[in-house]
Amino acid sequence: MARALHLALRAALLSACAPPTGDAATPEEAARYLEDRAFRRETLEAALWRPDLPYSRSLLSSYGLPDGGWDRLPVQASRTAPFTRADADVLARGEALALDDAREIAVPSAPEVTGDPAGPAREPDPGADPAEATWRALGATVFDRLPMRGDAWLDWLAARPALWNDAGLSVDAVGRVRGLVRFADARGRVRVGLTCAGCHAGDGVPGRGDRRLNLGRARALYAAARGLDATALDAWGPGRVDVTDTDSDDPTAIPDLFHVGTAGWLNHSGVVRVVGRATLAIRFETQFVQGHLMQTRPERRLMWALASYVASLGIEAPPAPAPPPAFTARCAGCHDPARAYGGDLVAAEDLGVDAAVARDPERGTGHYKIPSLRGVSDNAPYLHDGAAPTLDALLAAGHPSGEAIPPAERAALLAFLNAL
Amino acid sequence: MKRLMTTLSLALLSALTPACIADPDDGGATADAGSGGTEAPVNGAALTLTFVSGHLGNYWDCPGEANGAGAAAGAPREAAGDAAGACPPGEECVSIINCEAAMVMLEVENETDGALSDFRIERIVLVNDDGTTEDLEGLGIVDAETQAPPAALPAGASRTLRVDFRGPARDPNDDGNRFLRLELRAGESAAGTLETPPLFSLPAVAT
Ligand code: HEC
Ligand code: HEC
Repeated sequence: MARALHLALRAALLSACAPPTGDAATPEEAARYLEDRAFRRETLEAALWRPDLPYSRSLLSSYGLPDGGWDRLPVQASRTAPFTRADADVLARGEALALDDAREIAVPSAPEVTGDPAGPAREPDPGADPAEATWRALGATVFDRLPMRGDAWLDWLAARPALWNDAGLSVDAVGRVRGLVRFADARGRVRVGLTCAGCHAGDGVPGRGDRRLNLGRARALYAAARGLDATALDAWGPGRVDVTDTDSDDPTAIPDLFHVGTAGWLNHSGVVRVVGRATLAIRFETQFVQGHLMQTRPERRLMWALASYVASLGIEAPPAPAPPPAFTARCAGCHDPARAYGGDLVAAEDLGVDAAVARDPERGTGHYKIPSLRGVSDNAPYLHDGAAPTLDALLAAGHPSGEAIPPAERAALLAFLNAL
Repeated sequence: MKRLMTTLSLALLSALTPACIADPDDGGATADAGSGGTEAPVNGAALTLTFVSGHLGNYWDCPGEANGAGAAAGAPREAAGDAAGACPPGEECVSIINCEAAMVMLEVENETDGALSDFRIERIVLVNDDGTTEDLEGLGIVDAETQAPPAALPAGASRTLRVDFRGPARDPNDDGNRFLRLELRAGESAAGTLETPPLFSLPAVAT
């Protein structure tokens, strides 16, 4: 009964949206994203299917305008260097960070990366497309090295290695802190920046949401040092970030980025509808603009590269085992095997989960996205807010609707999920 | 977006310029800036302003730095007084967690016949959803590239400037469609107005 309702809802949403195409972009799409402002604007408008939300309005008011707007921002320099343990000592001595050893993220020559449509015919497999391979390699560099933002609390934390463990920062054998770089901000000051890898490369695996990173704790420590109350920040817990500024305290799990290329929606509440790879590129581009205080914008080729790379995460996974009948009967209607076991959106009240994030006034759509289940056994805790500690707990609570699942079916489902 | 090249009549505010400014694209019509003034247009004495970006700041952890919250010039700084909002442009300041002064970046084009310097904020008006307005305090203007006070701008040239100001105190659960009407002056009498698209507070975590 509940399931029938879910499926009906899902069908209604599906009929309203185009199939996601983030995983297979054409060279023409790259060229249009890079060169055609009107195309970028159209893509943004199509992606923001809830234009009434503040999240959408703040982008619609300034991106891809016919005259003026963020297109006219100066381009953010891509010169960065890893932030290391030695840099922390520099900061601890009260000295300024240097950028002498910083390198530009080099963009390969144009025809190579725009996939010149007049060039030789290519294999249909995007993995075999030389331009695609170039984009992805460049995107991997962007993911690791281009700072999405700098923050006062990050500079503070970076100077205090004794607190890094508490904040869940990881340091590699040569002293580099994962996800942190040195860069010159919009005002020319050399400071510490957080890259995509800072949040989305847990255990060093690119694309895995970092479950140890405790940004709430980091910010709370900084706030406390300045005599401010930060109880709410400390309550986020590891692996979770409150991405909105509304009064409601609703931290969400940092998601995995595997199979985002086949996802029809982005973010837990599905506030962004994917209408092509350009949707990803624009989401990242606008995220960088906001992260850099709206004073610089990233070089667009780096954003296309990042989108190409992110869309490729997880696609090398071996084929999934065949689902057991219990999965086909109870789960596949939402977790579509043809879409990496992910799917569209489900109304929050039809799920046995907390609805705060779905109802957030800034970016809540009333829905939650059906996430991909590939590799799910590595990703505990589960759900948009990390509320389910294990797969067993999730199924014991009768996900999705609360209806009990008979023990034998549960065991079969668990075995399947663990092999997925 | 709304892009305005409205002329301003700011003459009475200046001892030096008893004239109002004509907009070449606007058939010489004038928009009264509320300061009174004569209607005699002076040819080419206009700044064309184009919106680039802007936000209303983030005063989450420094509400005292927002406009109209006891942060008027000369008022004592709060405990978190080295916040960005209180930080004069060009000075090195450390901001606290969610504390960033509001700003608008705009491209200014000198449509006059001579070089212009001494760029200054005449007025910043926040227009709320319901049409009510609020005057905001300007904090300064810098060249977006050099972060320094803007150098002289030759006739016909354009440059991107950043205008810092005290944003409104924010109700985080009610982000409306507020926008700014911003009036800049330069040299003796050149002036221009910009009406921005809707502006929002700066998100603390943008994802
Ligand atoms: C501060 C940590 C942080 C950083 C840095 C960060 N993200 Fe995220 N990312 C998140 C969180 C939290 C969400 C979930 C947001 C939501 O649901 O509203 C998210 C969501 C996403 C999503 C949507 C995933 C999905 O399945 O819906 C993508 C794609 C993404 N991030 C890519 C990136 C890229 C690329 C970068 C670098 C430009 C980046 N992120 C930087 C924390 C971060
Ligand atoms: C009505 C649609 C629907 C059905 C049916 C459904 N799910 Fe889900 N599933 C969702 C949604 C939506 C989420 C995300 C909820 C959230 O983020 O809070 C989810 C999340 C999950 C997660 C957590 C994934 C993660 O990375 O956090 C697992 C595991 C899961 N589902 C497994 C199953 C299994 C097994 C079944 C069959 C017993 C099933 N689901 C049936 C919609 C559904």
